Amino acid sequence: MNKQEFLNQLTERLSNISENEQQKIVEYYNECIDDMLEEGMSEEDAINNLSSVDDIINSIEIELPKMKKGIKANRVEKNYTFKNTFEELNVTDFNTPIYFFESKDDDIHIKVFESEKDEYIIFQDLGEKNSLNVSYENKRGFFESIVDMVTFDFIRNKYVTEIYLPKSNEIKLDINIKSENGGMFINDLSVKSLTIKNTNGKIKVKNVKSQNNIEITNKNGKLSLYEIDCRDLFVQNTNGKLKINEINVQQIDVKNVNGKVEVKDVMSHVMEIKTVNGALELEHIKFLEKADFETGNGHIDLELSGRERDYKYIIKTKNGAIKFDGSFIGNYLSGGSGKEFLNINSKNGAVNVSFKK
Amino acid sequence: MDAQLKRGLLEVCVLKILTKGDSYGYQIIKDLSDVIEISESTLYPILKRLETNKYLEVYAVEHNGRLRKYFKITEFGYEKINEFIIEWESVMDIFRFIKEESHE
Repeated sequence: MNKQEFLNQLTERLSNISENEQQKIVEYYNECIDDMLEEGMSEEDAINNLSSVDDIINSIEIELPKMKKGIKANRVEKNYTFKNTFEELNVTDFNTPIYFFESKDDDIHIKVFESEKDEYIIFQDLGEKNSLNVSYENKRGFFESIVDMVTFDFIRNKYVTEIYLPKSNEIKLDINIKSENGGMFINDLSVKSLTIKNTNGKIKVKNVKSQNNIEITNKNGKLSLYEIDCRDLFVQNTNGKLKINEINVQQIDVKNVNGKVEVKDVMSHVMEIKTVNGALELEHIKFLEKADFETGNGHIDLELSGRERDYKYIIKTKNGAIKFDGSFIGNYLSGGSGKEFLNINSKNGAVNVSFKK
Repeated sequence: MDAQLKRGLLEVCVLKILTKGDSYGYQIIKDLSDVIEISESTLYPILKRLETNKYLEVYAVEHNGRLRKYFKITEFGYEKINEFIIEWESVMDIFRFIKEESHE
């Protein structure tokens, strides 16, 4: 069969699809054949090299509709309501962003999207603590999950998990959230404690008060914290930008790998902020006892509240320069007689410390 | 390999090839054939799907008196590769677990 015969056969067999699509397919095979001819193949060899017309028709007829459908399950909204008696709320989610809202009544409301492949197990556990557990369960088999993952059918889903908490109960709650590939948005909460573990998703926490600690472990996603008031704040972040604004705590401990850390308006007794690869930008910082700032690869920009004489300091950089209170000073500086102790350590980056009353 | 899994992998493979420069159908097949089995008839629906999802763009260039369609990866395409890598890490963890167990 020569090229023209092949293309004619193909066109004939494509008669049931739109002309535009027909033309595209024929052009594509025409181009492939021309490319093979250019490489020195004969028309016959080129045609033999291609899949048969039957196979081509199959690939078009079967693959296209099948790919569109995938194995995506359509999820429908389900609502659950609970009397507000809990001391603990545990949420485990997957591929779905979690949002927290204020309940309009005195009950806890949970809105999730379920299908035969995506279920939420929601139950009360009267063990050590009276807790409410919300846990996503993927009913896909291992293999189905991989296919879904590769074809991205359920990463970009439109579903969300919504949790409505009554203001009256919040303060008694220990909240633990675990999520993968979904991220979470937590606004206007006042709780007993908050623990977040997240992978692959954005986290935004705003206007949250906690009587005890807030602990956040995050991997591969941007993390933003605004207006946080708690006892101790622990943050561990990997591969993502970290933004921390308006924080009032006893202690703040931030460990970051691969990402810039921006901290602004922080008041804490003790501070420790460390990053491996990324800059530290610290603005309007006030601490009462001790602060440690450390980075491997990146600059440190620090603007402290108060005056130089409030502090006692040791500043080191291996391969960078230090600018302190407006003047450049080699790569080591120690001094001061204040009672607030500042320790800065940078490996490969410049350090700039300034003061603002 | 399962057809659906392979199709998913091929999509990312095609995008990856395009990160090295714009390319056309036959060249993509040649470049990928060392890595994964692919034919003209498998590539076509993949290119079409990637284009529909805006992971790549198409333009024509005149070559030896005929037109050749070139494919160019978009920002979304790059994003998709990244997402794939992140996702696949967790599959690899499971893979390593399974492989280790079965050796013992």
